[in-house]
Amino acid sequence: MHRPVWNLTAAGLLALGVTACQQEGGQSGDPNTGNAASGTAAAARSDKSILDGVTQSAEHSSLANAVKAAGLTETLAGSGPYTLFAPNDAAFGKLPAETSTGLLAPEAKGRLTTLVASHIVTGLVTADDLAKAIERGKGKAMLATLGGSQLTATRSGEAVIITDGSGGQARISGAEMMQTNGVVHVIDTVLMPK
Amino acid sequence: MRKLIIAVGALAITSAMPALAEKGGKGEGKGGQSQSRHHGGNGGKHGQAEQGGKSDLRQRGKVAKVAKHDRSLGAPGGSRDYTQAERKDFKRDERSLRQRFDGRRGDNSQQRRFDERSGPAHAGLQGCPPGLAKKNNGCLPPGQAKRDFSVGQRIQPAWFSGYALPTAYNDLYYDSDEYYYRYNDEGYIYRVDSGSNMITALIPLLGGGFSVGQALPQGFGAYNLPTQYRDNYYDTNEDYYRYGDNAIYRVNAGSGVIESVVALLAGNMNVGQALPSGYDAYNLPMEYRDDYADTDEDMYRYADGNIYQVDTKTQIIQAIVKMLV
Repeated sequence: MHRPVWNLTAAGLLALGVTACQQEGGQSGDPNTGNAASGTAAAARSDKSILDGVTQSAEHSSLANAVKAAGLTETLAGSGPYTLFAPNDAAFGKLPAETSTGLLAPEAKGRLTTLVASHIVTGLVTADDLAKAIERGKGKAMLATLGGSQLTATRSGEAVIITDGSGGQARISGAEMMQTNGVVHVIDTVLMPK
Repeated sequence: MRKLIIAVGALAITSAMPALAEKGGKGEGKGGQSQSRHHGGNGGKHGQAEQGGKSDLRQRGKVAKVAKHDRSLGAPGGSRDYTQAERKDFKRDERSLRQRFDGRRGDNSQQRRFDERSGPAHAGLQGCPPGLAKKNNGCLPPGQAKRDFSVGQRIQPAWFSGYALPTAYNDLYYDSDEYYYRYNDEGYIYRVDSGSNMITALIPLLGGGFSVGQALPQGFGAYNLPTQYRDNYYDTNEDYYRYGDNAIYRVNAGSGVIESVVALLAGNMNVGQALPSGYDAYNLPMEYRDDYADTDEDMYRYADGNIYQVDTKTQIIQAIVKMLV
């Protein structure tokens, strides 16, 4: 039930003319292992904002729609810098139907805003920064989101795992995308604020 | 205890009215809409009270609801047995309150307010599922249980069982001798006077009180952006900008409706204070990393347009070393 809803928006956005911008962000990570930590801050920089990167990504149509519905387009197009943990379309597809339906309801716009903001961290936290913070923190690093919640970054083998306030876990996959106003880390699960 | 609650409830009818009247009386498009929005959850109740309130009152007896509410609060699960003496006290309180209430029947608004407060007790002792009864909220289902309070209302602290603030706000809004704070799950924090137990403010939060498509909450008439953002966001004839709950909002000057969130701020960095939780990772913009790299003595973190220097050992924020905005 929920997949068609998100996918409808995906189709609409794709119709605008989508290019996969993920490749623009450098290839230093290993998409197979989710080795974001091997991505470096020196990854190739896009000349686009986080907003452009998301809206033009072939795998972030649902997120792009959520950002728009949440009223955060100007934020992610602004000066930042921000670090965005960007759930891909498959991540949105994993949401329970009632959650998706609820988030898309007009009266739930506030919750949607908080949800999206809970994927955003102030400043530029690269994959390398994350890896160092986890190492320095003896296995974990805390990240304060701009939605008011906290995320915990840990390692699982070579991959970096982001745990939300509800205990939900997302894996960073692929390389980071360096944008003009921040960095985007692709994750495979939608993070919940609490 | 029951007498106290009932008495407070009766007192609240009168004490809440000036504040309510003040709110409603301002008549500002923005604020008025905002209040309406916040009480949207009560809209149904208001509607019910207006449509069938009088006959409903006569048939079911609102006074009894207060007593039931008290019972559910006083005894976990709302299933406590009462002694004969307690039942006598209870009936006497009922009669007393009924007399006071009857004296106000001419005022529908007061009846509505009374209904709001006693509403949570509607399910009271009878037919309340154990799961809801345990919440001590008068057997209201989730989502409805936290909408019954408003500015000017006097409450019992015990009524706020389960209204804990989101942890992110614990450092900002903490209980003191002057105020205590509770969260209503609807995007607002209640500020309650510790002495009088009167709700003195509703503090809007991102995604709740401040939400795109909603009217700007009351009390944000004046331009209030942090200094470093004023050059970027300033009022025009079409739009104005307001700061609240760590975000900057663009508001339609004509309608007063929030149109967009233009910036999200951390809002939790202060020189002389400890580095807040959540800044474990180095996060400076790329162009400043050569100048401000972490060392054994100092570390640097970015937030809200500033680069802060933090003592690595004490984790105390020492200074703003660079303002970027």
